[in-house]
Amino acid sequence: MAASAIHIDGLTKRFGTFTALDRLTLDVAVGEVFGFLGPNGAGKSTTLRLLLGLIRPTAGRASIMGLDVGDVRNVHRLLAFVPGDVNLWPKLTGGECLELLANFHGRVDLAYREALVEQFQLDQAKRARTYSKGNRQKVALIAAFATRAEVLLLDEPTSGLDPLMEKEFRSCVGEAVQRGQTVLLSSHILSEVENLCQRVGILREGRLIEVAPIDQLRALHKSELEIDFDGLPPDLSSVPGVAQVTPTPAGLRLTLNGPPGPVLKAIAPLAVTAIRSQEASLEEIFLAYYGGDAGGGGGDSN
Amino acid sequence: MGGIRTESAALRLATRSVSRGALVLTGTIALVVVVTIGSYTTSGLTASSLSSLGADPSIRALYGSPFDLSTAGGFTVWRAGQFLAIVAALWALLATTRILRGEEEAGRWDLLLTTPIAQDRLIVCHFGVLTAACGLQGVGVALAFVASGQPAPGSVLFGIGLALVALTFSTVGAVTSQLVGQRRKAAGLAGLLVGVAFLVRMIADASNGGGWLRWLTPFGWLEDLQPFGGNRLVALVPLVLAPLGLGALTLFLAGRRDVGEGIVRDPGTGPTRPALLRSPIGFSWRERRGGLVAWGGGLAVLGLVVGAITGTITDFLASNPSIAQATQNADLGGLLSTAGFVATMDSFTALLIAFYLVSSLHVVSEDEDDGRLELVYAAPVTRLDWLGAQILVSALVAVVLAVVTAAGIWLGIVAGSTTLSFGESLVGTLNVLPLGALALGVAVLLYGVRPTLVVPITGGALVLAYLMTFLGPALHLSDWMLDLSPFHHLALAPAQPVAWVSTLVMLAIASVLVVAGSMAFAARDLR
Repeated sequence: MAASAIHIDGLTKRFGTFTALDRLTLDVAVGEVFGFLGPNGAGKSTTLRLLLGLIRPTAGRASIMGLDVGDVRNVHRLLAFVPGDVNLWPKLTGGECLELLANFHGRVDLAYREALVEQFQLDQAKRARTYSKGNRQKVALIAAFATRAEVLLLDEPTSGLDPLMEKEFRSCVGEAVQRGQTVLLSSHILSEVENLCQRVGILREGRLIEVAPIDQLRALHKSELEIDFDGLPPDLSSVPGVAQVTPTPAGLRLTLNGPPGPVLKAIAPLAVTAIRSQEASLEEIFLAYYGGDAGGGGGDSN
Repeated sequence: MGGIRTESAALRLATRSVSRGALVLTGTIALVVVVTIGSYTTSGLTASSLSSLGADPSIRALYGSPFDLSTAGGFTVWRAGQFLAIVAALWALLATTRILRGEEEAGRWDLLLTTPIAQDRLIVCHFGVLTAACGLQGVGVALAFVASGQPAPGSVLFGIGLALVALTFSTVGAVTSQLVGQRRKAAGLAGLLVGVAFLVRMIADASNGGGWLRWLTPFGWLEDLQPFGGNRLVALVPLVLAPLGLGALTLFLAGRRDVGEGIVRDPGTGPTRPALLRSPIGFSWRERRGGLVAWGGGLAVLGLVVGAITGTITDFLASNPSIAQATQNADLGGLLSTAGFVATMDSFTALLIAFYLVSSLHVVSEDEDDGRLELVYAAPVTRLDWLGAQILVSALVAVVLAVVTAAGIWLGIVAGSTTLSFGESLVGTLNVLPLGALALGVAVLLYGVRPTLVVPITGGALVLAYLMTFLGPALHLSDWMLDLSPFHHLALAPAQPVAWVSTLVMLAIASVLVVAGSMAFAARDLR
């Protein structure tokens, strides 16, 4: 395994008696795009704020590129952050906000920043007070990508962006990955995580309940297979991996627990006219983790 | 169509946001009235001994024209009435712009106005609460007069007058809240009008034959009520008509603008000025330039006025043996010389500069509350870098404010009949800076530990300490209580040499507080 860009070891944060994050241990490799999934209040932002040193851990430790996260002056040169709710100085123009953030960060690729301003269509002359939520978000995104920082910490970065801008955001993440930058993307927008991330961690009530590559997560879960037959459908209920069989007008609908190989073998000699398969979306996986439990606070699955 | 429930919810909301301030202000004003009446009765002042003072143009400019110096009530109206009115007016316009513009600017009215309540009804509900708040001050003042044994008609009349002046400027704030889209601008504009109204009143009272100018300003109307003297009710007419007219104008304007915007639309664009965006110190200065101009302007004018009345006041005090004796007894013997009077006024300057420092630190706390600092602290900027820059620039501005005040006082004195060198004036204002440092230290400590307490605790402690020192002797407080107030440890420079030991001790304590507060801030969770 490649070196860790982000190393988190037993990180715990309690506010009074409320445990916001419970013994989180996680490694994100250099160059990886890691998705951090969870409903509101699961501890995603708490984790990022701990990594940034905005709040202090109750227990455990974390490092970024081998440096303890408490070493703000050195660690923060290597990272850039986009919060989910960007607040700017109302009197400053967008351009001035970008200038301020670039100066404070100390590192900026000016040519790339110009390109990003074009790409996100940001009107820099407007004062931050007049910006909509989406525009404030753009300012933080441009400032963060323009640093070309080794590690990008993105906390629901596309909230308030329109679909076109979300697409631009995805292309920026893609470009960052090609340059070898590491991305920690916290989100509850599943399609975003599904498209961008190689691995996903699922948080629930402050605990990391699953870490897996997206493919593997899908494989762990149910998929559906619809098979149309020319003639009477066979009895497939005893084939390994088949959980449920429902008849359809043209054939059968199978719910699978696992790989579809045995089913394909079983139907190979038969007159099959069509096969449609539907993999479990991340959304379904997500609901499986959160939806079933009344105490889970419900999945925020938009 | 708003039902009763909707309206009563709006009333409760507005009440919540102004009630605490209104109660504190009412209590303070009532206390000042009681103490001023007490000072008249114990000092043995008479109408004849005060008449020379009341005839002096610079004194009349500051306090207004006296209409009745033969009773404690009339004296108090003259001595404190205009100041109480200005404080009540400022509070009223700040509260009004906060709830009528600030709430809208923050976007909360977008939510309120989607409930079944129309904008004009919502504004009227807020007017109702603000009227009650101003009325509360009137009632408090009237009760304070009556409780101190003053005749009821004058007491009630002054109470009504004070409440109506406050209400007038509340509605001025309501109108400016419709004109511009930002709370700061609306409050600044209304504050400017308070200044102009007071200035017109000053000219009216100081000039010969300019008395008619009094009819142009609410402060003049209050004067013309002549409580305890003529008790002239005719001045109530403009005092009632003004808020009604301005209230109607508010509703008229409110119906002709977009929610979230003023009648005067701000283009909301501007050129990029990168000069002061390079470092935390540069940015901190950029954020405080405007404040320096406003506070510096105010303190310079205050200094000029103080300088201008110095000669008259000291002459008056020296020529009245009974007062001279009384001031000696009250530990205020220094008042009898030019340098002594200036030194006493410098203590008040200290209070204002300390207020500046507290408000300056409050800005940092606001930035944190509003979430702006997340982006800053995510950059390679440590918390100490940021807070240190804010403290440093605030402290430098405070020093500049002291110099500006000293210049104002000096100019005012030079323009008059007495003399004081600029150096002496400067020593006087610099001498009180350790008190500002102490206030800053307490504010930083609270910011590090419990940010929400910065303004209430530091501000409250400052007022308490100031009142204890200057009313303490009259209230016969014991020495150890007086020693608690840092004001008590400041020498009356330039009349006395600077008390270096106290100065250094206060600066040392302030440094420890700043360091402790900064360390606590570095260690705590960001909100």
